[in-house]
Amino acid sequence: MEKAIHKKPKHTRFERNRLLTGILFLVPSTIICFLFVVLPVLNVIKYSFNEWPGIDTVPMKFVGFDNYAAVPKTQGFGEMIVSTITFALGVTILTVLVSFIVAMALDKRDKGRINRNLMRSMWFFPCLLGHAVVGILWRIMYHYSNGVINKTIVQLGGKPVNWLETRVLTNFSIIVPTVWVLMGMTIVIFLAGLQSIPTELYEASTIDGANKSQVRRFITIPMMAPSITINVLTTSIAAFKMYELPWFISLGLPGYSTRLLTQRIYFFGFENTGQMGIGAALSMILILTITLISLLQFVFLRKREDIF
Amino acid sequence: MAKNNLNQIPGATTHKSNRIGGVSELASKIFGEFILVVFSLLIWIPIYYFVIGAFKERGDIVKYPLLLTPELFTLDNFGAAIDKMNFFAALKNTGTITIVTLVIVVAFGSLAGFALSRIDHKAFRIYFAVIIALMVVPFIGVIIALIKQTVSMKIYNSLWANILIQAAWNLPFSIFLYTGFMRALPKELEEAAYVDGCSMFRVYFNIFLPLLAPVTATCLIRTGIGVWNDFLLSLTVLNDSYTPTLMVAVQSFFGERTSEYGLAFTGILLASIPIMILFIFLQKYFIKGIAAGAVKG
Amino acid sequence: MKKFIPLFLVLVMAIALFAGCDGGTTTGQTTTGQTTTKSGETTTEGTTTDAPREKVTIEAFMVGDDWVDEWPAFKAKFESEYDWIEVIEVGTGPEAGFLQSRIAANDIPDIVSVDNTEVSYQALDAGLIQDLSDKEVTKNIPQAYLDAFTRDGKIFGLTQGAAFTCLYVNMAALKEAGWDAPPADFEELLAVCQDLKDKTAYAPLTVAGDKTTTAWMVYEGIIANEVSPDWGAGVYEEKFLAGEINFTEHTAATEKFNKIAPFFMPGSATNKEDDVTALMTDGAAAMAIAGNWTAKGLVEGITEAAGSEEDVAVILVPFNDPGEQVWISISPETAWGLSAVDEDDNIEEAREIYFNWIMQPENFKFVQNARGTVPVLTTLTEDQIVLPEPIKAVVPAMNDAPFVLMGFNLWTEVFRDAACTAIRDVISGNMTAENAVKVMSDTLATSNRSEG
Repeated sequence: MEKAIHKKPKHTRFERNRLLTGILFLVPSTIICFLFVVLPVLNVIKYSFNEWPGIDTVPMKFVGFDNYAAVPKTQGFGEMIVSTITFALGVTILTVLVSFIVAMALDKRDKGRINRNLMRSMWFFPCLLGHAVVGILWRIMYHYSNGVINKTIVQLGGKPVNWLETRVLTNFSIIVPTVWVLMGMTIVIFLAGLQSIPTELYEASTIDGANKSQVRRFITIPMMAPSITINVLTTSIAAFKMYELPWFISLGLPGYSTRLLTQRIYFFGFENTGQMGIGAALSMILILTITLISLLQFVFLRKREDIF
Repeated sequence: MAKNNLNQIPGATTHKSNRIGGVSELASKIFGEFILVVFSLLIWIPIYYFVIGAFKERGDIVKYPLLLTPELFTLDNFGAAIDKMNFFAALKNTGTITIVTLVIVVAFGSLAGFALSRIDHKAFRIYFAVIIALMVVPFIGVIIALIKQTVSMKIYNSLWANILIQAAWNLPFSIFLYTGFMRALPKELEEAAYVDGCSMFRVYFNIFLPLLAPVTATCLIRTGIGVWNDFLLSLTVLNDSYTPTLMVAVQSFFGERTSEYGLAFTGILLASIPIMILFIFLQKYFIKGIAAGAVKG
Repeated sequence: MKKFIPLFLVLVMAIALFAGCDGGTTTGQTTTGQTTTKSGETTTEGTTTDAPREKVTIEAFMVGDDWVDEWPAFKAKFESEYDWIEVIEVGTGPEAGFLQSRIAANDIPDIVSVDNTEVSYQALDAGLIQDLSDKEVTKNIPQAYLDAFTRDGKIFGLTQGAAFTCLYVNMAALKEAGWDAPPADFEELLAVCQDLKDKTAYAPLTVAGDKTTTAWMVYEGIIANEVSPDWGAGVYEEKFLAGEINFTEHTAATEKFNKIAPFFMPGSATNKEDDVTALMTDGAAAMAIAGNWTAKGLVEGITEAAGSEEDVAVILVPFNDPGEQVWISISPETAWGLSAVDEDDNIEEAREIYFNWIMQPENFKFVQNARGTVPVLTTLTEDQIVLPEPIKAVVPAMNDAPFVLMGFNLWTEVFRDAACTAIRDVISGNMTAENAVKVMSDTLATSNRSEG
């Protein structure tokens, strides 16, 4: 009997049974994901080709690509695109850069340094907070006359800064809290990456006479490529998806200079514009952008890894 | 495997070996630590600011933003905030949603991951690719359609709508995690069991499930933080102010009294404190779990 | 030991979870009607009903930020009179999204706040809101206010009062700047602002730019005083609805807007109404443009800042040219509509009872008193109306003043977004008024309420 399993005919029946059971195992998650992920995505695609205020009693009217054509004509579209890209780029670059540096610092574990576990937890902590509360918190901190930031500046003898109503500066004002909240995650990932670099590599390189920057250039960074890939990927996707945090802080002002794609989706979908089609078209743009970025980054960064 | 990354701490020995330890070396070390400490404290200012703010009156928050002395100390905010944000109802809702979602995600995710990792078939590989593709879809893009979906299923405005949607949006990641983890487990594990005539479910339940603790921790923590802190879904699908989740409760009552900083800070503190306490006692698992989940991706 | 603490926490959470399961706070809300029959109890002092009634729950989407403090007492009073009806407030969060997603779900709250906005029209057209024409209480409301909420011959809401724009002045600050009386026209307003800026530490002006209605007030007052003396009453609204106003043509208004903008305190473009109250209370700003619905808080705040109520002045916003009569912007307040969604008979009865109840003077006064607004209900007796003194003083002037309708009665959501973003930008110094009026004109031409 034991041996029989490995014989061909029995084997296939066994395999077929396994396959059927396997399919059965997939059923629950498939149903849930189909109902609440796949189907809604298909529906959004449908909405994006119809004119519809979003009420069941009003029938949909097929309009082809009209909604997509209307998107660039919506108020502040250009600025919104610029701000979305600025935000995503700024958040990604700053988060990855800052957390890489911090992770390098936290990775030093030789004698006489402060407890690394404590430091690591300190840096990780902000990412436990919800985006909604982080938005509220930072909005208060940025308040022109009552916020802690301006209060401190004034106490130190400076002039208060209008953090939320100055072009370009406001873009920065919404990036900082986002980096603050995303950073914990990326630092921890970098740390894990650093700690998985084999010790022998460092030893070998120092024996060969490499100096610190050479070690960093030729060992640390190449070995960290997978962590960098994953961090750039997750951070940029998170930045593109960000909604409530920057909205609570800046309301998309001044002008449309800090308004993000997600916020425009919410506006057309939920603020009674009667133009759900445009909201859906914007959603499709977001979905495609994120898909494209993931693909690009994946291909590009994977390739780099191979080179190193 | 995921565990190994963190348990061996090569850095501890690595860098020591190439240090000769001169005076300049020591100075740079002290300087480096000093900078690190300064920045660590700097990023904690917002947290410090709101935590002490929860124990102060509005006027004092404005006047002495970074001070808390016994004269300023008050607990008045808590009573008002708990009352205004309907704290216990909100806590119960958020707790229910989080716990039930986690159960679904872990149970169904590991089941699917088991099938996907242990059966080598073309269809399964395609299925896995689809799952990965689903991870990319941004939630906000389909929220309108999601509302319609819950309405047509007659679960709109119920906790179930929230739970099922959260589960659906977190399952792909958990399937991805479990599949990756179980693929690395040796084939010999299950073969003997099949030989003994065990069913596949028995193999999953008796042999694999006990091994899944590390990856389950990852899954619980990643999903848990996300679900606990969710705002948009609760705002749109569960949109009653009498049954809010914590995040929505904080936001809506902050909207009414923007200038009542004491209440806002108390709200923020109350909404975050359960997860903060969990973190303080389980930080090792939190950090390990997060790192393991990502690096293996 | 350490290990047990998280365990304990989880346990507590789990217990809290199950303990509350019968609380009925979870699902279903009114449509399924969480009916719990109290069969065991006997009511002895039941006034109207002979047997204890089935408990029903109705949803009220009616609690505004400005009277939320009175809500618990209001609710308790009703529930003590009708012990079988429970009222729960919904949607005090970000309101636009709330109603839209409810309409998308074909389910609106039993009592629902309506305005002359697209979303309310959508709900009415979809048959989700009742026609109130045959309700008793309509007799107690002046015809003009009924007309304001009539669409296709159907009255879809009963308004709570009249809203208008005021200028709240801290006279202590003005005295410091050398002014004994509040400004009477636009020239004086500019002069006051200049003096405040030069001679005092006060910021001259502030506004709640976060709320679109209040942000719009700034330009609305200027344009109304510019065009309406020539056009006469009602023309501005007509042209606005038809999308025929070209704001760029009215260069004098644009110029005024440019002149007043620099006097707004930094942060005005993002202030919420509560922020404005706080700023006036702190004595950070000297004057605020705000609706009369925040009168109570503002008057109290300025009183605190200035030292006495004597030093609080509330006037109609003087955007008028010297010697001209001042035009104000005015609107029927948000109205309350009644759901037409098919429900269980008990719920339908309960919501009718509740709707009639809230329009009774002795109950309505809760709302009026909390906000300090001018009530519309003719049955309210003098002693039931509580108005802050400074508001009382301005009411006669308000009644005499010619007016235009507030923006939200006239605009589309797309215009609202574009115009208010532009206005906030002018206030915060990020845009010139010329560019802002251009944006508004262009948007109004393509997005207005004219059919087709």
